[in-house]
Amino acid sequence: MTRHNSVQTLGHDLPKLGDSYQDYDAASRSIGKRRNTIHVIPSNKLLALYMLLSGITYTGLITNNVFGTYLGLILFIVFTSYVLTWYLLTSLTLLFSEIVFESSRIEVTIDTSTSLNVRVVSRIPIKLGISLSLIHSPHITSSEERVTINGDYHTMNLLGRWIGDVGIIGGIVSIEDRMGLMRIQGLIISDETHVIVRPARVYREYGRFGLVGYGEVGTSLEGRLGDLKSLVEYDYERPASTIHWLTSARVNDLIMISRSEYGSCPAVIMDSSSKVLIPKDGKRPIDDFLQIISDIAQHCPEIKVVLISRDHVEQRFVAWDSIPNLEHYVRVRVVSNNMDNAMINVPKHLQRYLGINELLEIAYVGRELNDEATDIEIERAHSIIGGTKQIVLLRISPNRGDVPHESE
Amino acid sequence: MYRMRVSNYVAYISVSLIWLITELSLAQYIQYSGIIILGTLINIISIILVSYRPTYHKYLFIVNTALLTYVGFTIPNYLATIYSIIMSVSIVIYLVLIDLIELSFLLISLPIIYVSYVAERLLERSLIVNKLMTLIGPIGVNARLFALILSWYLSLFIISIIAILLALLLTRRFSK
Repeated sequence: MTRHNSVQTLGHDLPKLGDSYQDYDAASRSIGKRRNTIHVIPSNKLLALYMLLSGITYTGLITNNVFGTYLGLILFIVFTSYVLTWYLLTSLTLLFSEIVFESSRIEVTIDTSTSLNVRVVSRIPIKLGISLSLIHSPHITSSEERVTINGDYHTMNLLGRWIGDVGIIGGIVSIEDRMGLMRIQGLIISDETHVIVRPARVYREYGRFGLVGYGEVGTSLEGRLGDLKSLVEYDYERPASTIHWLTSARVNDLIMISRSEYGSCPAVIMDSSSKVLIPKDGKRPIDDFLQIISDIAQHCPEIKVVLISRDHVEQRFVAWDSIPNLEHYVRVRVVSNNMDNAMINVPKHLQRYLGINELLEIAYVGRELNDEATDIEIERAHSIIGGTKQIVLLRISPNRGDVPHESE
Repeated sequence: MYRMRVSNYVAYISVSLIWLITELSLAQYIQYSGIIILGTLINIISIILVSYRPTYHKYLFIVNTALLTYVGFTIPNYLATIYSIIMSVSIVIYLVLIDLIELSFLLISLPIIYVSYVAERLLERSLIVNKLMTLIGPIGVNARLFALILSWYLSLFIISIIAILLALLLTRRFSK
Protein backbone atom coordinates (compact mmCIF):
# COMPACT_ATOMS: atom_id res chain seq x y z
CA MET A 1 0.00 0.00 0.00
CA THR A 2 1.26 3.42 -0.76
CA ARG A 3 1.05 6.52 1.25
CA HIS A 4 -1.41 9.20 0.18
CA ASN A 5 0.75 11.13 -2.18
CA SER A 6 -2.02 13.04 -3.85
CA VAL A 7 -1.29 16.66 -3.22
CA GLN A 8 -4.32 18.85 -3.60
CA THR A 9 -4.82 22.55 -3.42
CA LEU A 10 -7.60 23.73 -1.22
CA GLY A 11 -10.79 24.71 -2.98
CA HIS A 12 -12.01 28.21 -3.66
CA ASP A 13 -15.08 27.60 -1.55
CA LEU A 14 -13.12 27.48 1.66
CA PRO A 15 -13.65 30.34 4.05
CA LYS A 16 -10.88 32.90 4.31
CA LEU A 17 -9.65 33.83 7.69
CA GLY A 18 -8.13 37.09 6.60
CA ASP A 19 -8.36 39.59 9.42
CA SER A 20 -9.65 37.02 11.86
CA TYR A 21 -6.24 35.40 12.03
CA GLN A 22 -5.71 36.51 15.58
CA ASP A 23 -8.86 34.65 16.59
CA TYR A 24 -7.51 31.57 14.92
CA ASP A 25 -4.21 31.84 16.74
CA ALA A 26 -6.03 31.58 20.05
CA ALA A 27 -8.49 28.92 18.95
CA SER A 28 -6.19 26.72 16.91
CA ARG A 29 -4.87 24.91 19.93
CA SER A 30 -8.29 23.69 20.94
CA ILE A 31 -9.33 21.66 17.91
CA GLY A 32 -9.76 18.07 19.02
CA LYS A 33 -13.33 17.56 17.89
CA ARG A 34 -13.60 13.84 17.27
CA ARG A 35 -15.56 12.68 14.25
CA ASN A 36 -15.31 9.99 11.62
CA THR A 37 -16.25 9.73 7.98
CA ILE A 38 -16.08 6.80 5.61
CA HIS A 39 -15.72 6.60 1.86
CA VAL A 40 -16.46 3.40 -0.04
CA ILE A 41 -14.46 2.57 -3.17
CA PRO A 42 -15.84 -0.47 -5.05
CA SER A 43 -13.39 -2.18 -7.39
CA ASN A 44 -13.90 -3.50 -10.92
CA LYS A 45 -13.60 -7.02 -9.50
CA LEU A 46 -16.98 -6.54 -7.82
CA LEU A 47 -18.58 -5.62 -11.14
CA ALA A 48 -16.87 -8.55 -12.90
CA LEU A 49 -18.03 -10.99 -10.23
CA TYR A 50 -21.65 -9.91 -10.48
CA MET A 51 -21.53 -9.97 -14.28
CA LEU A 52 -20.23 -13.55 -14.14
CA LEU A 53 -22.89 -14.69 -11.65
CA SER A 54 -25.66 -12.93 -13.56
CA GLY A 55 -24.33 -14.45 -16.79
CA ILE A 56 -24.61 -17.99 -15.35
CA THR A 57 -28.09 -17.26 -13.93
CA TYR A 58 -29.51 -15.77 -17.13
CA THR A 59 -27.94 -18.47 -19.32
CA GLY A 60 -29.75 -21.00 -17.11
CA LEU A 61 -32.99 -19.04 -17.40
CA ILE A 62 -32.83 -18.62 -21.17
CA THR A 63 -31.86 -22.27 -21.81
CA ASN A 64 -34.49 -23.39 -19.26
CA ASN A 65 -31.70 -25.06 -17.26
CA VAL A 66 -32.33 -25.46 -13.54
CA PHE A 67 -28.64 -25.99 -12.65
CA GLY A 68 -27.41 -22.72 -14.21
CA THR A 69 -30.19 -20.71 -12.59
CA TYR A 70 -29.68 -22.30 -9.19
CA LEU A 71 -25.87 -22.09 -9.20
CA GLY A 72 -25.87 -18.45 -10.30
CA LEU A 73 -28.58 -17.58 -7.80
CA ILE A 74 -27.02 -19.40 -4.82
CA LEU A 75 -23.62 -17.78 -5.42
CA PHE A 76 -25.31 -14.41 -5.93
CA ILE A 77 -27.11 -14.73 -2.59
CA VAL A 78 -23.97 -15.90 -0.74
CA PHE A 79 -21.69 -13.19 -2.17
CA THR A 80 -24.22 -10.40 -1.80
CA SER A 81 -24.93 -11.19 1.85
CA TYR A 82 -21.19 -11.63 2.52
CA VAL A 83 -20.23 -8.32 0.90
CA LEU A 84 -23.12 -6.58 2.65
CA THR A 85 -22.09 -7.98 6.03
CA TRP A 86 -18.47 -7.02 5.48
CA TYR A 87 -19.48 -3.52 4.39
CA LEU A 88 -21.82 -2.97 7.33
CA LEU A 89 -19.53 -4.33 10.04
CA THR A 90 -16.43 -2.60 8.68
CA SER A 91 -18.24 0.72 8.24
CA LEU A 92 -19.66 0.60 11.75
CA THR A 93 -16.29 -0.40 13.22
CA LEU A 94 -14.58 2.52 11.47
CA LEU A 95 -17.36 4.96 12.37
CA PHE A 96 -17.02 4.14 16.03
CA SER A 97 -13.22 4.12 15.96
CA GLU A 98 -10.87 6.54 17.59
CA ILE A 99 -7.15 7.13 17.18
CA VAL A 100 -5.41 7.30 20.52
CA PHE A 101 -1.94 8.83 20.81
CA GLU A 102 0.09 7.78 23.81
CA SER A 103 1.49 11.28 24.25
CA SER A 104 -0.12 14.60 23.44
CA ARG A 105 3.17 16.33 22.69
CA ILE A 106 6.52 15.05 21.49
CA GLU A 107 9.66 16.84 20.46
CA VAL A 108 12.14 16.07 17.73
CA THR A 109 15.18 17.85 16.36
CA ILE A 110 15.20 18.60 12.66
CA ASP A 111 16.55 15.74 10.49
CA THR A 112 16.23 13.25 13.31
CA SER A 113 13.57 10.64 14.08
CA THR A 114 11.29 10.04 16.97
CA SER A 115 8.54 7.53 17.62
CA LEU A 116 4.91 7.94 18.52
CA ASN A 117 2.76 5.14 19.92
CA VAL A 118 -0.60 5.03 18.24
CA ARG A 119 -3.61 2.82 18.82
CA VAL A 120 -6.92 2.55 16.99
CA VAL A 121 -9.81 1.54 19.21
CA SER A 122 -13.42 0.96 18.29
CA ARG A 123 -16.57 0.61 20.32
CA ILE A 124 -17.48 -2.35 18.07
CA PRO A 125 -15.43 -5.18 19.61
CA ILE A 126 -13.94 -6.53 16.38
CA LYS A 127 -10.27 -6.86 15.57
CA LEU A 128 -9.66 -5.69 12.02
CA GLY A 129 -6.36 -5.24 10.22
CA ILE A 130 -6.18 -1.78 8.63
CA SER A 131 -3.59 0.53 7.14
CA LEU A 132 -3.19 3.81 8.92
CA SER A 133 -1.54 6.99 7.75
CA LEU A 134 -1.44 10.00 10.03
CA ILE A 135 -2.71 13.38 8.89
CA HIS A 136 -0.20 16.16 9.39
CA SER A 137 1.68 18.79 7.47
CA PRO A 138 4.91 17.81 5.66
CA HIS A 139 7.02 19.11 8.56
CA ILE A 140 7.31 15.48 9.60
CA THR A 141 7.22 12.34 7.52
CA SER A 142 5.50 9.18 8.57
CA SER A 143 4.74 6.05 6.61
CA GLU A 144 1.53 4.13 6.14
CA GLU A 145 1.49 1.31 8.68
CA ARG A 146 -0.53 -1.86 9.21
CA VAL A 147 -2.31 -1.70 12.56
CA THR A 148 -5.09 -3.67 14.18
CA ILE A 149 -8.26 -2.00 15.38
CA ASN A 150 -8.67 -2.81 19.09
CA GLY A 151 -5.11 -4.12 19.08
CA ASP A 152 -2.06 -2.97 21.00
CA TYR A 153 -0.17 0.29 20.63
CA HIS A 154 1.75 0.55 17.38
CA THR A 155 4.98 2.51 17.18
CA MET A 156 5.15 4.93 14.27
CA ASN A 157 8.40 6.58 13.28
CA LEU A 158 8.34 10.27 12.58
CA LEU A 159 11.16 12.16 10.88
CA GLY A 160 11.45 15.90 11.45
CA ARG A 161 11.90 17.59 8.07
CA TRP A 162 11.02 21.21 8.70
CA ILE A 163 11.18 23.28 11.86
CA GLY A 164 7.79 24.05 13.34
CA ASP A 165 4.89 23.11 15.54
CA VAL A 166 2.99 20.32 13.80
CA GLY A 167 -0.46 19.11 14.73
CA ILE A 168 -1.39 15.51 13.98
CA ILE A 169 -5.14 15.88 13.67
CA GLY A 170 -6.01 12.23 13.09
CA GLY A 171 -5.51 9.59 10.47
CA ILE A 172 -6.76 8.04 7.28
CA VAL A 173 -7.55 4.38 7.69
CA SER A 174 -8.03 2.03 4.80
CA ILE A 175 -9.35 -1.51 4.70
CA GLU A 176 -9.95 -3.83 1.77
CA ASP A 177 -11.76 -7.15 1.77
CA ARG A 178 -9.61 -10.19 1.02
CA MET A 179 -10.98 -10.66 -2.48
CA GLY A 180 -10.31 -7.02 -3.31
CA LEU A 181 -13.98 -6.34 -4.12
CA MET A 182 -14.32 -3.20 -2.07
CA ARG A 183 -12.18 -0.76 -0.15
CA ILE A 184 -13.38 1.46 2.66
CA GLN A 185 -11.42 4.57 3.49
CA GLY A 186 -12.10 6.29 6.76
CA LEU A 187 -11.16 9.74 7.99
CA ILE A 188 -10.77 9.73 11.74
CA ILE A 189 -10.36 13.10 13.41
CA SER A 190 -9.04 12.58 16.90
CA ASP A 191 -7.77 14.58 19.82
CA GLU A 192 -4.79 16.38 18.39
CA THR A 193 -1.22 15.61 19.30
CA HIS A 194 1.63 18.01 18.67
CA VAL A 195 5.07 17.30 17.32
CA ILE A 196 7.53 20.09 17.95
CA VAL A 197 10.33 20.03 15.39
CA ARG A 198 13.18 22.00 16.90
CA PRO A 199 16.26 23.42 15.19
CA ALA A 200 19.54 21.64 15.77
CA ARG A 201 21.56 22.89 18.73
CA VAL A 202 24.73 23.88 16.95
CA TYR A 203 27.29 26.15 18.60
CA ARG A 204 28.47 28.13 15.64
CA GLU A 205 30.62 31.17 15.28
CA TYR A 206 28.44 34.06 14.18
CA GLY A 207 31.16 35.27 11.88
CA ARG A 208 29.79 32.68 9.46
CA PHE A 209 26.94 35.05 8.75
CA GLY A 210 29.16 38.07 8.44
CA LEU A 211 28.35 39.33 11.91
CA VAL A 212 31.85 40.48 12.59
CA GLY A 213 32.16 41.65 16.12
CA TYR A 214 29.41 39.59 17.73
CA GLY A 215 31.12 36.26 18.29
CA GLU A 216 34.32 37.67 19.65
CA VAL A 217 33.70 41.30 20.36
CA GLY A 218 30.19 40.63 21.68
CA THR A 219 31.63 38.72 24.58
CA SER A 220 33.71 41.63 25.60
CA LEU A 221 30.63 43.81 25.43
CA GLU A 222 28.82 41.71 27.98
CA GLY A 223 30.10 43.67 30.92
CA ARG A 224 28.67 46.84 29.52
CA LEU A 225 25.52 45.55 27.95
CA GLY A 226 24.23 42.73 30.11
CA ASP A 227 23.07 42.90 33.71
CA LEU A 228 24.64 40.48 36.16
CA LYS A 229 21.92 37.96 37.01
CA SER A 230 23.67 35.33 39.13
CA LEU A 231 26.76 33.22 39.65
CA VAL A 232 26.42 29.71 38.31
CA GLU A 233 28.59 26.66 37.77
CA TYR A 234 30.80 27.10 34.74
CA ASP A 235 29.47 25.75 31.44
CA TYR A 236 32.52 24.53 29.51
CA GLU A 237 30.93 25.58 26.22
CA ARG A 238 30.82 29.22 27.28
CA PRO A 239 33.80 31.54 26.77
CA ALA A 240 36.44 31.42 29.55
CA SER A 241 36.06 35.18 29.96
CA THR A 242 32.75 34.57 31.76
CA ILE A 243 34.54 32.85 34.67
CA HIS A 244 34.47 34.80 37.89
CA TRP A 245 37.93 33.94 39.19
CA LEU A 246 37.54 35.41 42.64
CA THR A 247 34.46 33.31 43.48
CA SER A 248 35.97 30.26 41.75
CA ALA A 249 39.03 30.47 43.99
CA ARG A 250 36.83 30.90 47.06
CA VAL A 251 34.63 27.81 46.42
CA ASN A 252 37.39 25.82 44.74
CA ASP A 253 35.26 25.25 41.62
CA LEU A 254 34.83 27.11 38.35
CA ILE A 255 32.03 29.63 38.67
CA MET A 256 30.87 31.92 35.90
CA ILE A 257 28.80 35.04 35.72
CA SER A 258 25.36 34.61 34.24
CA ARG A 259 24.30 37.81 32.57
CA SER A 260 21.20 39.12 30.94
CA GLU A 261 22.57 39.24 27.43
CA TYR A 262 19.62 40.90 25.78
CA GLY A 263 21.37 44.14 25.30
CA SER A 264 24.22 42.56 23.36
CA CYS A 265 22.05 40.35 21.18
CA PRO A 266 21.37 41.26 17.59
CA ALA A 267 17.88 42.02 16.37
CA VAL A 268 16.59 40.02 13.43
CA ILE A 269 14.57 41.21 10.49
CA MET A 270 13.06 38.16 8.88
CA ASP A 271 11.25 37.82 5.60
CA SER A 272 7.88 36.22 6.40
CA SER A 273 6.43 36.21 2.90
CA SER A 274 5.12 33.09 1.16
CA LYS A 275 8.45 32.69 -0.66
CA VAL A 276 10.28 31.58 2.47
CA LEU A 277 7.74 28.80 3.09
CA ILE A 278 7.88 27.17 -0.34
CA PRO A 279 9.98 24.00 -0.33
CA LYS A 280 12.70 23.61 -2.92
CA ASP A 281 14.23 20.14 -3.10
CA GLY A 282 12.48 19.38 0.17
CA LYS A 283 13.95 22.34 2.05
CA ARG A 284 12.45 25.71 2.85
CA PRO A 285 14.36 28.98 3.26
CA ILE A 286 12.59 29.65 6.57
CA ASP A 287 14.27 26.59 8.11
CA ASP A 288 17.69 28.16 7.45
CA PHE A 289 16.44 31.43 8.95
CA LEU A 290 15.10 29.69 12.04
CA GLN A 291 18.37 27.79 12.42
CA ILE A 292 20.25 31.10 12.42
CA ILE A 293 17.86 32.48 15.03
CA SER A 294 18.41 29.28 17.00
CA ASP A 295 22.18 29.76 16.81
CA ILE A 296 21.81 33.28 18.13
CA ALA A 297 19.38 32.08 20.81
CA GLN A 298 22.07 29.76 22.18
CA HIS A 299 23.65 32.87 23.66
CA CYS A 300 20.67 35.18 23.97
CA PRO A 301 17.70 34.43 26.17
CA GLU A 302 15.34 36.45 24.02
CA ILE A 303 15.72 37.80 20.50
CA LYS A 304 13.82 40.60 18.92
CA VAL A 305 12.52 39.35 15.55
CA VAL A 306 10.77 41.68 13.15
CA LEU A 307 8.65 39.84 10.59
CA ILE A 308 8.28 41.61 7.30
CA SER A 309 6.13 40.97 4.29
CA ARG A 310 4.06 43.17 1.98
CA ASP A 311 2.06 45.64 4.09
CA HIS A 312 3.01 43.81 7.25
CA VAL A 313 5.70 44.57 9.80
CA GLU A 314 5.45 42.91 13.18
CA GLN A 315 7.81 42.66 16.10
CA ARG A 316 8.01 39.49 18.18
CA PHE A 317 10.29 38.34 20.97
CA VAL A 318 11.55 34.83 20.47
CA ALA A 319 13.33 32.51 22.89
CA TRP A 320 14.97 29.28 21.76
CA ASP A 321 12.00 27.23 22.96
CA SER A 322 9.50 29.27 21.00
CA ILE A 323 11.20 29.07 17.58
CA PRO A 324 8.79 26.33 16.35
CA ASN A 325 5.89 28.57 17.42
CA LEU A 326 7.31 31.40 15.33
CA GLU A 327 7.27 29.13 12.26
CA HIS A 328 3.70 28.08 13.04
CA TYR A 329 2.68 31.70 13.37
CA VAL A 330 4.28 32.73 10.07
CA ARG A 331 2.94 29.68 8.19
CA VAL A 332 -0.63 29.94 9.40
CA ARG A 333 -0.66 33.66 8.71
CA VAL A 334 0.49 33.16 5.10
CA VAL A 335 -1.86 30.20 4.53
CA SER A 336 -4.89 31.93 6.02
CA ASN A 337 -4.31 35.04 3.94
CA ASN A 338 -4.77 33.01 0.77
CA MET A 339 -6.26 29.55 1.14
CA ASP A 340 -6.18 28.94 -2.62
CA ASN A 341 -2.42 28.96 -2.41
CA ALA A 342 -2.27 26.32 0.31
CA MET A 343 -1.68 22.62 -0.25
CA ILE A 344 -2.63 19.62 1.78
CA ASN A 345 -1.65 15.95 1.68
CA VAL A 346 -5.17 14.53 2.05
CA PRO A 347 -7.18 12.96 -0.81
CA LYS A 348 -9.58 15.50 -2.30
CA HIS A 349 -12.72 13.48 -1.56
CA LEU A 350 -11.91 13.61 2.17
CA GLN A 351 -10.90 17.27 2.33
CA ARG A 352 -14.47 18.53 2.56
CA TYR A 353 -14.86 16.78 5.90
CA LEU A 354 -12.05 18.82 7.44
CA GLY A 355 -12.82 21.98 9.33
CA ILE A 356 -11.03 25.25 8.70
CA ASN A 357 -8.83 24.94 11.79
CA GLU A 358 -7.78 21.42 10.81
CA LEU A 359 -7.00 22.53 7.27
CA LEU A 360 -4.86 25.39 8.54
CA GLU A 361 -3.05 23.05 10.89
CA ILE A 362 -1.94 20.69 8.11
CA ALA A 363 -1.72 23.04 5.13
CA TYR A 364 1.53 24.26 3.68
CA VAL A 365 2.37 26.90 1.10
CA GLY A 366 2.55 25.56 -2.42
CA ARG A 367 2.82 28.58 -4.68
CA GLU A 368 4.37 31.96 -4.35
CA LEU A 369 2.23 34.99 -3.63
CA ASN A 370 3.19 38.50 -4.52
CA ASP A 371 3.68 39.38 -0.86
CA GLU A 372 7.38 40.13 -0.59
CA ALA A 373 8.38 43.07 1.52
CA THR A 374 9.36 46.28 -0.25
CA ASP A 375 11.89 48.86 0.86
CA ILE A 376 9.09 50.62 2.74
CA GLU A 377 8.57 47.64 5.04
CA ILE A 378 12.32 47.23 5.54
CA GLU A 379 12.60 50.89 6.52
CA ARG A 380 9.74 50.45 8.96
CA ALA A 381 11.44 47.38 10.43
CA HIS A 382 14.66 49.34 10.91
CA SER A 383 12.78 52.11 12.64
CA ILE A 384 11.12 49.59 14.99
CA ILE A 385 14.49 48.14 15.94
CA GLY A 386 15.81 51.62 16.63
CA GLY A 387 19.25 51.87 18.16
CA THR A 388 20.24 48.22 18.21
CA LYS A 389 23.75 47.99 16.88
CA GLN A 390 23.57 44.50 15.35
CA ILE A 391 20.85 43.59 12.89
CA VAL A 392 20.60 40.31 11.07
CA LEU A 393 18.55 40.61 7.91
CA LEU A 394 17.10 37.25 6.93
CA ARG A 395 15.63 37.87 3.56
CA ILE A 396 15.43 36.29 0.13
CA SER A 397 17.03 38.69 -2.26
CA PRO A 398 16.17 38.33 -5.94
CA ASN A 399 19.73 39.20 -6.87
CA ARG A 400 21.72 37.40 -4.23
CA GLY A 401 19.76 34.20 -3.68
CA ASP A 402 18.74 32.66 -0.37
CA VAL A 403 21.42 34.13 1.83
CA PRO A 404 21.25 36.01 5.06
CA HIS A 405 22.68 39.49 4.98
CA GLU A 406 24.17 41.57 7.66
CA SER A 407 23.72 45.22 8.17
CA GLU A 408 24.68 47.59 10.90
CA MET B 1 -11.72 -11.46 13.02
CA TYR B 2 -11.28 -15.21 13.08
CA ARG B 3 -9.34 -16.53 10.11
CA MET B 4 -9.52 -20.06 8.84
CA ARG B 5 -6.23 -20.56 7.07
CA VAL B 6 -4.90 -23.87 5.79
CA SER B 7 -2.29 -24.34 3.10
CA ASN B 8 -3.45 -23.78 -0.47
CA TYR B 9 -2.58 -27.39 -1.28
CA VAL B 10 -4.85 -28.78 1.47
CA ALA B 11 -7.63 -26.38 0.39
CA TYR B 12 -7.44 -27.50 -3.22
CA ILE B 13 -7.21 -31.22 -2.43
CA SER B 14 -10.23 -31.01 -0.08
CA VAL B 15 -12.36 -29.41 -2.76
CA SER B 16 -11.11 -31.66 -5.56
CA LEU B 17 -12.03 -34.72 -3.47
CA ILE B 18 -15.59 -33.38 -3.14
CA TRP B 19 -15.66 -32.95 -6.93
CA LEU B 20 -14.23 -36.42 -7.54
CA ILE B 21 -16.91 -38.08 -5.42
CA THR B 22 -19.59 -35.99 -7.17
CA GLU B 23 -18.29 -36.89 -10.62
CA LEU B 24 -18.09 -40.59 -9.81
CA SER B 25 -21.60 -40.51 -8.35
CA LEU B 26 -22.94 -38.73 -11.43
CA ALA B 27 -21.33 -41.09 -13.90
CA GLN B 28 -23.82 -43.86 -13.10
CA TYR B 29 -26.89 -41.63 -13.66
CA ILE B 30 -26.11 -40.13 -17.01
CA GLN B 31 -26.36 -42.02 -20.21
CA TYR B 32 -23.89 -39.87 -22.09
CA SER B 33 -21.20 -39.66 -19.45
CA GLY B 34 -18.29 -38.74 -21.76
CA ILE B 35 -17.98 -35.22 -20.38
CA ILE B 36 -18.15 -36.57 -16.81
CA ILE B 37 -15.28 -38.99 -17.51
CA LEU B 38 -13.31 -36.15 -19.13
CA GLY B 39 -14.02 -34.02 -16.05
CA THR B 40 -12.87 -36.81 -13.74
CA LEU B 41 -9.64 -37.26 -15.74
CA ILE B 42 -8.89 -33.53 -15.69
CA ASN B 43 -9.63 -33.48 -11.96
CA ILE B 44 -7.17 -36.33 -11.30
CA ILE B 45 -4.51 -34.70 -13.51
CA SER B 46 -5.07 -31.45 -11.60
CA ILE B 47 -4.57 -33.24 -8.27
CA ILE B 48 -1.24 -34.62 -9.55
CA LEU B 49 -0.23 -31.21 -10.95
CA VAL B 50 -1.07 -29.34 -7.76
CA SER B 51 0.93 -31.89 -5.78
CA TYR B 52 4.01 -30.86 -7.76
CA ARG B 53 3.20 -27.17 -8.10
CA PRO B 54 0.82 -26.00 -5.34
CA THR B 55 1.16 -22.41 -6.62
CA TYR B 56 -1.04 -23.28 -9.63
CA HIS B 57 -4.02 -24.13 -7.41
CA LYS B 58 -6.05 -21.06 -8.41
CA TYR B 59 -5.73 -21.70 -12.16
CA LEU B 60 -6.54 -25.40 -11.74
CA PHE B 61 -9.53 -24.45 -9.60
CA ILE B 62 -10.83 -22.10 -12.30
CA VAL B 63 -10.37 -24.72 -15.06
CA ASN B 64 -12.14 -27.43 -13.06
CA THR B 65 -14.94 -25.11 -11.93
CA ALA B 66 -15.55 -24.03 -15.53
CA LEU B 67 -15.66 -27.67 -16.66
CA LEU B 68 -17.96 -28.72 -13.81
CA THR B 69 -20.26 -25.77 -14.56
CA TYR B 70 -20.45 -26.95 -18.17
CA VAL B 71 -21.22 -30.47 -16.89
CA GLY B 72 -23.99 -28.97 -14.75
CA PHE B 73 -25.68 -27.58 -17.85
CA THR B 74 -25.79 -31.09 -19.38
CA ILE B 75 -27.21 -33.06 -16.43
CA PRO B 76 -30.95 -33.76 -16.10
CA ASN B 77 -33.11 -31.40 -14.02
CA TYR B 78 -33.79 -33.91 -11.24
CA LEU B 79 -30.07 -33.88 -10.34
CA ALA B 80 -29.61 -30.15 -10.89
CA THR B 81 -30.61 -28.98 -7.41
CA ILE B 82 -28.21 -31.19 -5.46
CA TYR B 83 -25.43 -30.64 -8.04
CA SER B 84 -25.76 -26.85 -7.89
CA ILE B 85 -25.68 -26.97 -4.07
CA ILE B 86 -22.52 -29.17 -4.11
CA MET B 87 -20.87 -26.80 -6.60
CA SER B 88 -21.76 -23.67 -4.61
CA VAL B 89 -20.65 -25.19 -1.31
CA SER B 90 -17.34 -26.42 -2.80
CA ILE B 91 -16.60 -22.96 -4.24
CA VAL B 92 -17.38 -21.26 -0.92
CA ILE B 93 -15.35 -23.83 1.09
CA TYR B 94 -12.36 -23.33 -1.22
CA LEU B 95 -12.54 -19.53 -0.89
CA VAL B 96 -12.83 -19.83 2.91
CA LEU B 97 -9.90 -22.27 3.11
CA ILE B 98 -7.58 -20.10 1.00
CA ASP B 99 -8.65 -17.12 3.15
CA LEU B 100 -10.29 -15.06 0.42
CA ILE B 101 -13.53 -15.13 2.37
CA GLU B 102 -13.48 -14.54 6.12
CA LEU B 103 -15.41 -17.27 7.87
CA SER B 104 -16.62 -14.96 10.63
CA PHE B 105 -18.20 -12.53 8.17
CA LEU B 106 -19.72 -15.45 6.27
CA LEU B 107 -21.29 -16.82 9.46
CA ILE B 108 -22.59 -13.38 10.43
CA SER B 109 -24.12 -13.07 6.93
CA LEU B 110 -26.34 -16.14 7.53
CA PRO B 111 -29.07 -14.09 9.27
CA ILE B 112 -29.14 -11.78 6.22
CA ILE B 113 -29.66 -14.83 4.01
CA TYR B 114 -32.46 -16.01 6.29
CA VAL B 115 -34.18 -12.61 6.26
CA SER B 116 -33.84 -12.53 2.45
CA TYR B 117 -35.39 -15.98 2.31
CA VAL B 118 -38.38 -14.82 4.34
CA ALA B 119 -38.73 -11.75 2.12
CA GLU B 120 -38.38 -13.93 -0.97
CA ARG B 121 -41.21 -16.23 0.19
CA LEU B 122 -43.45 -13.22 0.71
CA LEU B 123 -42.53 -11.68 -2.62
CA GLU B 124 -43.02 -14.93 -4.53
CA ARG B 125 -46.61 -15.00 -3.35
CA SER B 126 -47.14 -11.32 -4.12
CA LEU B 127 -49.52 -10.14 -6.78
CA ILE B 128 -46.86 -8.36 -8.87
CA VAL B 129 -44.64 -11.42 -9.26
CA ASN B 130 -47.63 -13.62 -10.13
CA LYS B 131 -48.80 -11.09 -12.67
CA LEU B 132 -45.32 -11.00 -14.21
CA MET B 133 -45.25 -14.81 -14.32
CA THR B 134 -48.39 -14.84 -16.45
CA LEU B 135 -46.83 -12.28 -18.77
CA ILE B 136 -43.51 -14.17 -19.03
CA GLY B 137 -45.14 -17.56 -19.69
CA PRO B 138 -46.06 -17.01 -23.36
CA ILE B 139 -42.54 -15.73 -24.20
CA GLY B 140 -41.11 -19.19 -23.60
CA VAL B 141 -39.03 -18.43 -20.49
CA ASN B 142 -39.56 -20.76 -17.53
CA ALA B 143 -41.97 -18.69 -15.45
CA ARG B 144 -41.15 -20.50 -12.19
CA LEU B 145 -37.40 -19.86 -12.53
CA PHE B 146 -38.07 -16.28 -13.53
CA ALA B 147 -40.24 -15.72 -10.46
CA LEU B 148 -37.57 -17.31 -8.27
CA ILE B 149 -34.81 -15.05 -9.62
CA LEU B 150 -36.99 -11.96 -9.49
CA SER B 151 -38.15 -12.50 -5.91
CA TRP B 152 -34.61 -13.26 -4.66
CA TYR B 153 -33.19 -10.22 -6.45
CA LEU B 154 -35.92 -8.02 -5.05
CA SER B 155 -35.54 -9.31 -1.50
CA LEU B 156 -31.75 -8.85 -1.54
CA PHE B 157 -32.15 -5.45 -3.16
CA ILE B 158 -34.56 -4.29 -0.46
CA ILE B 159 -32.29 -5.57 2.34
CA SER B 160 -29.20 -4.00 0.72
CA ILE B 161 -30.95 -0.65 0.40
CA ILE B 162 -32.02 -0.77 4.05
CA ALA B 163 -28.45 -1.70 5.12
CA ILE B 164 -26.81 1.02 3.00
CA LEU B 165 -29.30 3.65 4.19
CA LEU B 166 -28.61 2.62 7.77
CA ALA B 167 -24.85 2.96 7.22
CA LEU B 168 -25.29 6.35 5.50
CA LEU B 169 -27.48 7.56 8.33
CA LEU B 170 -24.86 6.55 10.86
CA THR B 171 -22.09 8.10 8.74
CA ARG B 172 -23.86 11.45 8.68
CA ARG B 173 -24.68 11.28 12.35
CA PHE B 174 -21.11 10.61 13.39
CA SER B 175 -19.37 12.85 10.86
CA LYS B 176 -21.09 15.96 12.24
